[in-house]
Amino acid sequence: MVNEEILREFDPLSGRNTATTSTKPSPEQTSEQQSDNSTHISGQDLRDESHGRVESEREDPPLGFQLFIQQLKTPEAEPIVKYLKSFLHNFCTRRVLWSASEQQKLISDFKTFIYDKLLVFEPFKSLTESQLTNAQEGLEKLIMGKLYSRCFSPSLKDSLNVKLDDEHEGDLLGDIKLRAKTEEYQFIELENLDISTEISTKLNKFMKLAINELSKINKFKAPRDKVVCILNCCKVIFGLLRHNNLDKEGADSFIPLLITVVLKGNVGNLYSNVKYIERFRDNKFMKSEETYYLSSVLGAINFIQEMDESTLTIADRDTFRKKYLSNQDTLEEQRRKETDETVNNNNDTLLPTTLDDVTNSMATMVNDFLLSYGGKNATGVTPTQPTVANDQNATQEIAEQENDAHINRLILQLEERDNEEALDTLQSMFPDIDKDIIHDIGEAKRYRIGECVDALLQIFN
Amino acid sequence: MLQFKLVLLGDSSVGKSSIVHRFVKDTFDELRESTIGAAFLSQTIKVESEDQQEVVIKFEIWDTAGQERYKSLAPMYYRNANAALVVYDVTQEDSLNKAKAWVEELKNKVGDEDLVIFLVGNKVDLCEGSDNEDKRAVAATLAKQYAEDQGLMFDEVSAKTGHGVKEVFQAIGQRLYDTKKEELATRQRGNGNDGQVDINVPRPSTNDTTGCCS
Repeated sequence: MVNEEILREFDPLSGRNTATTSTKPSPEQTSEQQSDNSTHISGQDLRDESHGRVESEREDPPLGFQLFIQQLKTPEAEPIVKYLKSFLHNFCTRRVLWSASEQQKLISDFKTFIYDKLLVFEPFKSLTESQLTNAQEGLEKLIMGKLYSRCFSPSLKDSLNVKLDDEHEGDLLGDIKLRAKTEEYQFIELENLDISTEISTKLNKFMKLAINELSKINKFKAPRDKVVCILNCCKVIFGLLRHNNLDKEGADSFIPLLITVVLKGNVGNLYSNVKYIERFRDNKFMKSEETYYLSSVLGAINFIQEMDESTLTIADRDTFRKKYLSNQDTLEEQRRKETDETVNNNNDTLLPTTLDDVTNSMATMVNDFLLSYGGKNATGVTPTQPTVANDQNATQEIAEQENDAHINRLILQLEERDNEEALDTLQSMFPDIDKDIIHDIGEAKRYRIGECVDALLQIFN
Repeated sequence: MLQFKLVLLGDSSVGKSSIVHRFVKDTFDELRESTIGAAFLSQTIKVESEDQQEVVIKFEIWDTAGQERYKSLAPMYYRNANAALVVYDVTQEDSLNKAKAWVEELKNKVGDEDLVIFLVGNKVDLCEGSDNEDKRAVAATLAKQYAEDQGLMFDEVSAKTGHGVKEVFQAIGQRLYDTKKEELATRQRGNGNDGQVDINVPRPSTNDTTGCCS
């Protein structure tokens, strides 16, 4: 009931709020959004092909976020931009803190609303079905990118200095519990988790790659991109199973390995990430396979959170005990060091890397684009009837084109960097396979790690 | 296309995953819709409607870890399942007891009267031939009687030779189709029947706080 009322207030058509739709966001909000983006958005956030669809071969090629942004820039799409801006503005200003369920409902209802509107306005209304899906995905990504600092519990805590609601607080507690148990049991081996057969072939390399894929989850804001990180991680584990001829053992081998990856990876905020995906990834886009692996990661997290000696297979209690105590000592030592470090170098944290610099400038540009719409409307230029004679408009267009070119260059740079990294990893996983072949497969599979591993395994076998 | 979620349950050494691998690999999939992953597989089959028309259905198969210590994770997997394949090993008596425990749990926890439970005895190849008869630890008649009492479907298979595997999935598919048929008919009327039927079987969701481990 309350939510319905709020939603009505959010609806740009319901009168009262129309005034706010065409004005610029408040300066406070502007600076917040920018700082939000500069800290969290990654270059990969802006390119859809980075790790793409897993079942892409059976579907149309991925169309990309950039294309969606281009569509959004067309004058005919202006109403969509207005709705978006109005919703984003109201979400951030009507109340400081929504509970997670309220957020889920608000965003889901707005998506339903705006997806309907796509069928009304050009260029969206004449898109094919798969192009329309791309636009819907793009909207989800845009919305969640903008609202990330309010919806992702760890960011929410950082950005607001208030006591959080139980659900968001619960996410943070879940992360703390996971981290504590992870550190307490970081020394355990596969044998403690009941794997029927010994896994030796390339265990460490695959584990490292799987952890690497999983840890990318914190680089992305869009729920879909986070899901892909989980899926890729699970694909790499499957690759390991196939390498060891254990793929027919299914979950009996997969679950213990996934638990090991989660445990050894110690990926920050993993519990909050899973909860965030559950809340904000549109159900209709969620494939059954994705739901399976998401559930499995949550299962692995739950298992680790409840981990103690009774949940592990321990052949030799004395040795286990010794390892446990030695690990406790190491932890104690680490804690002491950390305390010292925080006292000594308070300003030395989080120096931006080159990669961050690149992505930051890109993030700002996307932000500028969204804001520029507000500016245009405020000056009374009607975007549906662009006049060439209008100098202001023309200048803006040129500026936008330059921006586009710049963004494209940055994206290319990022892609090349990522691709090289992927090739190195693949090469180390498959040292027996010729470098050129790996390169060709990388190109053919657009450097999607999951698919590359699949293809290389086929050659390997 | 009709989609059904099928969950695999059974002790870790009974070869439940092998049964599914056998099924997915041996089934000709003209739609090229099958998925083989670490623990999630999917495959389409055709069943027959009342008027002898072919209907394509898709199984989404959720594997579970059979080791005792991962038992607490199972509810996450069987939630919203349309069918459960509960597997035991005909050469291991205790594996039938474990299977019975799963059947109990499904009946108590899933609470869906339409849930199709199929009890499968695997590894019959191990006790074929007069030399190997003594390897059998669970008599087929005994398991069959139990299945009948509990209202389960039942058969024995060999994942190794492929014996009986396809038939199990065919029977489950047919049963699910027959059960959902009425629902389907209602929807078809509602949609004005454009020849394409798409039933969205309730999607599994992990955000259920009543799950096992929250």
